[in-house]
Amino acid sequence: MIARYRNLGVKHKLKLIILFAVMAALIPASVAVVAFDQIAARRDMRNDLDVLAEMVGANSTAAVTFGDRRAAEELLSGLKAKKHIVTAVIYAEDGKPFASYRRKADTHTPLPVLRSSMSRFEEDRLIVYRDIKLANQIAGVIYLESDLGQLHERLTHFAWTVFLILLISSALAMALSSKLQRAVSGPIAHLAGVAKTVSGQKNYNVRAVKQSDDDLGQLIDSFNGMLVEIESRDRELLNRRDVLEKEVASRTAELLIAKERAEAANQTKTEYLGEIKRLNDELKQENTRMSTELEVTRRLQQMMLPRDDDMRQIANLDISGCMESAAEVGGDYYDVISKDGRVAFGIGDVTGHGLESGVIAIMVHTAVRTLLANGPYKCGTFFNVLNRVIYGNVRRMNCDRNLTFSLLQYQDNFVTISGQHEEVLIVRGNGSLERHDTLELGFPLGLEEDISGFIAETRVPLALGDVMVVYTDGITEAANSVGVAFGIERLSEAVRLNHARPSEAIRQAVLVSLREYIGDQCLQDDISLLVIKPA
Amino acid sequence: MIIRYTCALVLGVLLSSGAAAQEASEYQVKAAFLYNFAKFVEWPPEAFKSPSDPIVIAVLGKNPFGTLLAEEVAGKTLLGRPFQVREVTNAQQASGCQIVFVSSSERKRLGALFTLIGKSAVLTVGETDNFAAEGGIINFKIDAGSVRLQINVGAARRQQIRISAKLLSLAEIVEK
Repeated sequence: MIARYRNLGVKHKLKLIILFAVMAALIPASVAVVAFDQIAARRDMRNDLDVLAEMVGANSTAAVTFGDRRAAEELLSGLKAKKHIVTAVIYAEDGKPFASYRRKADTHTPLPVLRSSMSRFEEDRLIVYRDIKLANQIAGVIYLESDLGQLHERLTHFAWTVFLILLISSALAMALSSKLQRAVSGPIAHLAGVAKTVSGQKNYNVRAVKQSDDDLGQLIDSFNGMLVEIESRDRELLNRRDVLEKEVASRTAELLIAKERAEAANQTKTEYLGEIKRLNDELKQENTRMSTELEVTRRLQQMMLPRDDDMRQIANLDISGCMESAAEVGGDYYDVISKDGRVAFGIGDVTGHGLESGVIAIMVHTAVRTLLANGPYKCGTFFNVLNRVIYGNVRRMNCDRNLTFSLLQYQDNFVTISGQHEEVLIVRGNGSLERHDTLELGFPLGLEEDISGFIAETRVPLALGDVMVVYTDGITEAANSVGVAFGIERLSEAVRLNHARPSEAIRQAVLVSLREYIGDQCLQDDISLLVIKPA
Repeated sequence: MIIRYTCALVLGVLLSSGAAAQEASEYQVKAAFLYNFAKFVEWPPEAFKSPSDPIVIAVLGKNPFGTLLAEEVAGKTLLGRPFQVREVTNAQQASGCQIVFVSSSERKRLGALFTLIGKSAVLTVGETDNFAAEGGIINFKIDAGSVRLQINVGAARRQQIRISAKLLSLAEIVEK
């Protein structure tokens, strides 16, 4: 029942609500009316019976007074007209029944006993005892007994009336409600219909029509607002979908092109990789070859250096020299040549690295040895010839190498210095330092065809206890971890601190000092160091 | 209450069955009737001089009641009026009373009596067969052992005595 009610349309629900409300109002009212009517009816009935008793009593006074039983019974028989009167009795003044009436002739039932004036409803009857008064005196008592048919008739009658009223009211309520409920259910049904159209056909163009400005009107407004919102979102979504589709299409096209390009590029890349691999292989071969070449050059350089044995043969001089190659073969050169009581020291540094620099250093080595073996020449001639040989070879080799070169010749406690190279350091026996610049003593070899105008010489004493040191810039330019060069001052100081020691010890001390300074840094250039001490 | 009145008033109906007591009972009943007539009868205002004037019941001729009538009305009042019982000997005396019982001893002089009473507001009660027909107002008539009434409404009207319809309904009406 309740489930069925729940699924009813708003229209029917409203009708039912109104009907129930009407019933709920009418039924208790009707019941109350019937109940009150019954109470009133009983009261009326009692009053009526009282009055009737009074009247019959009054009429019977003479009969009672004068003992006329027949007259009394005649009087009572008049009660036939009152069909609800069951029994009527008149008691004489002595309390004994004087006259009686029964609606149904029934002489078996004993007549009721006399009582004082009263009236009372009993189970199915109303009884009344009333004194019969005559001139303020009691002449007798009358008893009337009525059934409740009257009440029942009235109840039935009233119940039917109420039932009819209920029926008519309900019919009226239904008739009215089916008109009135349209004000509420009409807009709702309309709204439901529109909502059905919207959800069924996915048609967001439709709109509900507002009929009033009440809650339902607001509901319809809100509903329409929602539809507008949905529609605009729908449109936006469609637009976005179009845009997205276009975008996807264009992206797809781009991707296709990109893919083709990538495939082509892949092809190219494969080709490139092949080429690179080939080149790499070639480079590896070349590298191997070059490494081999460099190793050969390095060995050649080492082979050309004066040997310790040779240097120990030289009288009056304690000489110690060394050359260390950096990662690559450099262009360092030094040589010691003793001839006819004179000892010549050559030291030089070819610009650049690698095979070419190494080869030029070898050339210088050979040319110097040749010239010294052939000489003696004045130093101007010596350098001129040497420069011309190097210049010519560099031209021929078509490379732009050149070199600094100094020649130091010792004889009888004096050293003659010529040619442009690094400074020459001399620490005297007393520990004082002399730095002899060679900048004004020559010109880089191999740059110009004729350098005779630049060549000069200087004569410096070198006695017992003095130390002379020559070197290449690999020592002074060696840098530590923060990029600061070892420098000529540190070199000079290292020599000065050890000047009293043999040349070998001095050389070792300088190298130790250098190693300590640069720490774990690699040597970027070849280093050559030559220590000479008169002995 | 009822019991008290039962003792005071004995109705003829109860006594009519006993034949032995009938003679005595008859006048007992008639005494009660005389008393009760006052309740169903109205006299004109001139009949009394004041509201407390007694209702006088007179017996004319040979008194058959003995003391029964006096006993009957002893101590009783009706609407503030006490009762008085008198024995009268002539019409003139009777005229000043309210109820006059004409004994059967007067049956021969009824015509003259009524002429003398004339229009006086006196309720005449008799026990002679033609009492009402002669011009008396109420007559006792014994019928099958019980007391019946005959009422001459014409006489009552002439003497300005109004008799209750209730009483009339019990009586045999004599129109003369």
